[in-house]
Amino acid sequence: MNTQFKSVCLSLLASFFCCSLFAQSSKLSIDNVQNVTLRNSGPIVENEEVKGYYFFYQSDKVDKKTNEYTLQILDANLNKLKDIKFQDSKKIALLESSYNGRSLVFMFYDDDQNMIDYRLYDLEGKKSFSYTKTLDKRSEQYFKSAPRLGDDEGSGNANIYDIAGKGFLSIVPVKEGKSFTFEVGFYSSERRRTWTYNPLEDGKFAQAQYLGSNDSIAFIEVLSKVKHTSREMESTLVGINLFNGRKAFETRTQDKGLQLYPMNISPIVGSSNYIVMGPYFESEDRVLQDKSDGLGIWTMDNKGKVLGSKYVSWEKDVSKFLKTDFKGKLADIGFVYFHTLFQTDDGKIFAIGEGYKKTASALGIATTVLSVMAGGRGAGLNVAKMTVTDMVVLQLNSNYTLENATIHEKRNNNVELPSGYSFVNPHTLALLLKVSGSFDYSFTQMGKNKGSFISGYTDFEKGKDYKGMAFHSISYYDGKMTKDKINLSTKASRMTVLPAKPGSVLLMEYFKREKRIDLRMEKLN
Amino acid sequence: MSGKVKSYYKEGSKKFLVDTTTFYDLKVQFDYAVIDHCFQTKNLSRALYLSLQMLRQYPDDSYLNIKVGECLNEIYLSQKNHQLSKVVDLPDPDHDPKYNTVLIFLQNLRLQEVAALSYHFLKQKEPALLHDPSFKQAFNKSKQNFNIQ
Repeated sequence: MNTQFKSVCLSLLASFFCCSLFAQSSKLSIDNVQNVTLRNSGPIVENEEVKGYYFFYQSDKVDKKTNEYTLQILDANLNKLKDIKFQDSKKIALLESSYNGRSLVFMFYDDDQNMIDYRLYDLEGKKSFSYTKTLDKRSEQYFKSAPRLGDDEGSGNANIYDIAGKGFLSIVPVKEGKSFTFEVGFYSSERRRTWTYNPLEDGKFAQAQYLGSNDSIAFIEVLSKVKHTSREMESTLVGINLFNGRKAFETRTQDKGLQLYPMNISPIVGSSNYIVMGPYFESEDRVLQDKSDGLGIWTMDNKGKVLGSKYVSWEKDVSKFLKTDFKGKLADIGFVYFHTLFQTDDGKIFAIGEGYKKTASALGIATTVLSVMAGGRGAGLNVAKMTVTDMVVLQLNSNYTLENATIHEKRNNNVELPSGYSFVNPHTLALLLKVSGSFDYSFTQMGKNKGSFISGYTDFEKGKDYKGMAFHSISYYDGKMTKDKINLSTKASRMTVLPAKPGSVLLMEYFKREKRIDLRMEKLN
Repeated sequence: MSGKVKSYYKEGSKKFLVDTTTFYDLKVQFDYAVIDHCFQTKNLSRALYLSLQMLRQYPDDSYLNIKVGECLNEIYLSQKNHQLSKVVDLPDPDHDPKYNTVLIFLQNLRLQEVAALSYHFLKQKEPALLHDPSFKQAFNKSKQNFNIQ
């Protein structure tokens, strides 16, 4: 055997040995995924750290009436832990899902039976509880038009929210006679227990937004008006007792002659009190027409009592860091919707927001003009559209004094408004943008013991070097803010970025033709 | 693998098709070939781990020392370009526990820490390996990554 031949043999042998033993596992592919949406997959988060992931998807069509579904559970390093399959009627539509630190909930809509089915699973994949709710005519129409599994969307949950370790809360809009109201339902994950809360307001048009919860209270902002066409909106913060579903308090969100529109709550570390945050307006101002005067921050207790308040003015405070116009509106940004509010272990408070504004819609105007010329009453589009603008990050100290404010520029996104939305106030429009997934904000992931965080958003870039979607991260570590970017160019039908273990993100790609999900974890710099 | 070998092993059953010296030579070459294959196929975490394992036995081996530096330099580049998942395995309970420790260590490193690790590792080998062109190349790359002129 000559030396050269021996060397070739050795290399071939080594290659074979390596191929068989050292297959890489940093990327995971899941096959036979007939349909998947962002709403039905997500991180499993415990104590604010990502411990794993769940993926719920339609895995097969059994026959004309039956589908096969799979619930896949992975650990934080993408190792498969559980793979649960079950068959169910094709008429069952999966609407939303969530995880509360102990259980997963999947919210199904059964068109045949006209009911909502909340199925709770533990992390072993065992179904722990199932709650059904027959829909009355008040909310039937709402669920018939709700997006479901397979719809091409990128929005988050609109109806179901996790209550850490306790259960899940659902807020469902209902129509009662001529008035529009809402219903809050609670589904326990600890034992079989459920309650429903119905507001006792007559003749009002009310909509509710879930803000968050602490150990005993769920906080909901209720926006109500007397007439459907009325422009005046009344904002109320309602606390609902999580143990019995009774109203714990109801507080008009006015203080010192200022009107607050709560957007977020955040528990105060080491206290049962909490922070409520949102834009504030001069009381006599009409929120529909005027820009907010700044950011209001309240500390409240479980009885709904305002213990303290602080107001950060766009004009007086934020303008020191940013360009602001004479009226206090952030230059070129418009209104600001705050996606999240949280406190890090060094006592700093961060608010991550995104700008939006109402602008004229060329498409809406053109279709309306054409429709009127043709003898109609206008098309389904509005003459105004929404434009989603830049990211805003505010940093406050533990006394709620503004320490820094930064704008992260991105490409404006336009969202056409349905007809009839011209007179809706900016706060409600922000909720519409959020539910429809029109904001670019992705998520905020806290580091170990709240010592750091990563906030992410997507942006479409059109530069010399790169054209396509990009994921941008804003990281806070060791008292410093840094930025990073991952280009998201892909051949996949859909791509999304999910939170991951500290310092990383998970890139999820769905290849519709190949019926495959590819997952890969990348570190941020 | 070792379990499989044990099941076939019998006391006094050593039979070499070639003489013992050649066999051990081949065995050592085979170890290097595996590292080389892992590096060429961009399985960098495995190449790094195997190089570190062999360095315990041959601490002054120039190939192994340079390969550790080259692996770290490539890991730095992949992490910078957000392609780390393509060259570094994620921790898995099915991996060898020692290999898993290396993977957890790599997962916890920040970009600048990878650059620092490569530079300081190669720096201490500089007196012995300066004459080697591969070493020079790897060391210069690590300096560049660590922002040292």
